[in-house]
Amino acid sequence: MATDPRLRVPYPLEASAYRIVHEIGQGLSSVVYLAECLPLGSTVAIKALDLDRAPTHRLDDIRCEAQTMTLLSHPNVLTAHCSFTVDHSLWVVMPFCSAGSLHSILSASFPSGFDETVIAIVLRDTVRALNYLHQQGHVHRDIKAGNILLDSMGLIKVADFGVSASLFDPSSLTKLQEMAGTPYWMAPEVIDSAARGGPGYDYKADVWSLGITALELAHGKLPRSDVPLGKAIVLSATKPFPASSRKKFSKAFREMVGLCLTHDPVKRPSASKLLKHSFFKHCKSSEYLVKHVLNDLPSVEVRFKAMAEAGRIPKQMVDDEEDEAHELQKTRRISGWNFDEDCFRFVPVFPFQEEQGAKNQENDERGAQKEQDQEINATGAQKEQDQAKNHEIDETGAQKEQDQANNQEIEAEEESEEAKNQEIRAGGVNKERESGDQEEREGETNQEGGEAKTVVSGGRMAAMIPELERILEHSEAQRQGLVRLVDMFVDGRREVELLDLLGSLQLEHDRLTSELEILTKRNEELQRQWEEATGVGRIEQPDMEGANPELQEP
Amino acid sequence: MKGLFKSKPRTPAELVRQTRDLLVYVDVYWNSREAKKEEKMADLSKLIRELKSILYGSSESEPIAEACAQLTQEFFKDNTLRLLIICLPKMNLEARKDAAQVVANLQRQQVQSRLIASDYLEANKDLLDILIAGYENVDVALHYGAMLRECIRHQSIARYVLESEHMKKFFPYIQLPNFDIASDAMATFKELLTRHKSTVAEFLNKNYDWFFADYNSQLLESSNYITRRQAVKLLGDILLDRANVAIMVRYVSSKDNLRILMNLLRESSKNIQIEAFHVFKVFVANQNKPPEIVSILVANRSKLLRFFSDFKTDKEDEQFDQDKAQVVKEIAALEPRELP
Repeated sequence: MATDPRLRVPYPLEASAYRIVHEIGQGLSSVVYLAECLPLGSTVAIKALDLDRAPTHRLDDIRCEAQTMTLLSHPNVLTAHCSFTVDHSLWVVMPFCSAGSLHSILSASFPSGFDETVIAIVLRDTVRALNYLHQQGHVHRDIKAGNILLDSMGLIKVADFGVSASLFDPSSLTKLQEMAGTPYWMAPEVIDSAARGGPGYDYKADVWSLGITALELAHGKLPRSDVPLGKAIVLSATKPFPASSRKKFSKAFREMVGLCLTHDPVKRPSASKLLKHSFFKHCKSSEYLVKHVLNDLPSVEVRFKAMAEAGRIPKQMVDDEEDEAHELQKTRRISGWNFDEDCFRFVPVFPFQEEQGAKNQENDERGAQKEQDQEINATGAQKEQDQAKNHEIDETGAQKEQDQANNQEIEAEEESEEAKNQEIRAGGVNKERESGDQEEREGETNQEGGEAKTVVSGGRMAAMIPELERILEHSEAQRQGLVRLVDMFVDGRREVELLDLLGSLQLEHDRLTSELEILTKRNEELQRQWEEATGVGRIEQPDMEGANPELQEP
Repeated sequence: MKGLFKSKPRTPAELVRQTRDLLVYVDVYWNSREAKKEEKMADLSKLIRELKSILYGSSESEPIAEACAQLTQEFFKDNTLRLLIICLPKMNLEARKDAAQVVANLQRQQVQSRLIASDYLEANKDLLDILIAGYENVDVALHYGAMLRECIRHQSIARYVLESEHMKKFFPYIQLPNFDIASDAMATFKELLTRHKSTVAEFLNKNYDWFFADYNSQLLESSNYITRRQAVKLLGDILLDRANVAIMVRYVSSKDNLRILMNLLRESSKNIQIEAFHVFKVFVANQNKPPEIVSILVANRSKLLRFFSDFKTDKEDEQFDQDKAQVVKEIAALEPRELP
């Protein structure tokens, strides 16, 4: 049960009471140190957050995070001993988890993943932590191996509430409409709600991320997380079973992960329900982790040093902003993947394999409709926000004025973000497009094969254009959400880099757009040739009649 | 089979009555060596959690308006709120958090389109005294703080706190060493000074002298970075609010205030500089600048102009650039009113 804070040891609230021993982790605006608390003689971790790098509107979130960390109390949740400011920095004093994050342990000693016994203990404790957080009205929103820590007793601690939101605090409700988390681990509805301004997501999003984390623990890393998106799709199609997946997993484990990765959040189990799953039935105790994981593990300091010397700052110690920025480059379209329980990985879904031709027009219309929907949804979200504000007690009525002013501020901010988004989005879809292009080229080669094939591929290619557009639209939406995420982590000082990135993405985008144009034209030409040769299609496109009157004679 | 022995579901009003009975018990027998104490505390925690799930709903069900109304009505019929606040330090952490959320939620519940919480608090204003003093007790500060911020959403309650002696206590609270508590006090202080416009203007007019003297010396000139940063931002919000025009005019006519803001402009933190600029510009834009303000600006003219030539925001900000251009123009055109 929860420890009473009255029984907690009071930790000193000034910097002079601590001796910094080592740096053990780094984020974009924070550093994590191993330190000694001098009066108590105990080892602690101190997360030093540079407040001057936090924009003013983030200060309230930082307050909530600090409060959350002192008010939570669960053996599997990393809480804070205390927090205080030291000049520009906020120091959060926490228990030191000597083994570091599971991500760091995986890359140091278990490159091909843990065995199932270890995974079961880790996941059970993580689900317990999630169950507690959810009961408390908190959504963690960034569950992944990098945020699950292990201490010297083999105890699992879920860390990093930098992006968590409380469902009970009305002022944070709007946060759930925004996007947070690390893209690959994100549930489809999280991506959707950020991109379309749809309904807010809730606790179930953490369960999805838990499923992805299970894959991470089982494979040592996320399958194909190291290849860019376009390549990953092609690879998955041609070589569906890379070597590492030959590992055998029990049925209970595969089933549990499958449940976590249920697309529909309503059907996905809650944390409390998941705890009762048979996979956790014969779970060993924490001592097993001490024996099988902690033994021979290089210390956190050594791991940090080794990585720093290799020119790679560990991204996954406690704080992960940097990793998130990095992660953006290898994001894929999760909503287009189905989890295959038997082969224990995601299998991509190709939209253009499912349906052919015929639906061109319908698709076009659908596209237009979707755009409209997006607009409506966006205003819907605004309205919800307004309503939430109206609920507030307001006896003078003057509050409304302020709200309006606030809203304007928010709107203005969003507008500028939007502008940026459009730029990035334009560039960002390229990867998807590349893979699409490849398909198209394949179609082209087929065309050279002979008369009959030409006809087929011509039609197929015509069908492909709207599909391509649909992919673009999809990835645009996702990209837009991701860019919001970048904005959350990139502060003013990184703007120059960001602009550079935007510039190069824009160039790339322009190049690919012209390529697509050429392909489209070629496709039209093929279509025309095909029609000339067969006489089919004329009926479907009566506007051609006027242009080619001589073709009218059968 | 277990279901057979389950007691009938209790109505929200019954739950409130049971909670109150237990609170009375805890209040009276806390220091006695009563054997049943532990058990009663556990029951109490359970009841408070049940109240919370009625008000907030649970993962299975949304809150039901009728049940919430019944609960609220029963809650404020008697002295349940008082007992809950008084007994809070005796509860365990989880029960305290639940209790704070229950109290916060009740402030927004309407019974026959009336906020009866407001009526209750008006008749029991001493409860606010207890909540505010909570900032001095590490164990309850955050729970009381969360309740307090919800209570001052009622205008009459905010007025009571503003006019009380408690306002003076916020200055030290904001600088407490515990970041989570200090920032909570700051959030409450900000809420008090920005939410109910006319009440705030009235308060500032009446208490101008001591309030701004303390504000300047304790907050704007604090040795604590985060205090200075939040204080200068809040000052801008207060002075640039239309309801506070009279206060703004008075504030920007004082050369001591100008000196403090000019010092903040020289801070190493860009965030503080920018916020300070938003107040400084009002001193310059004032069309009826007192001679002493003019002479300070004239004496520092070249330094200020040099400063502003390099002074930029990290992100492009059109409004800021316009303001800055206007400030530079004004300063450049200043004529000393009295020749030395």
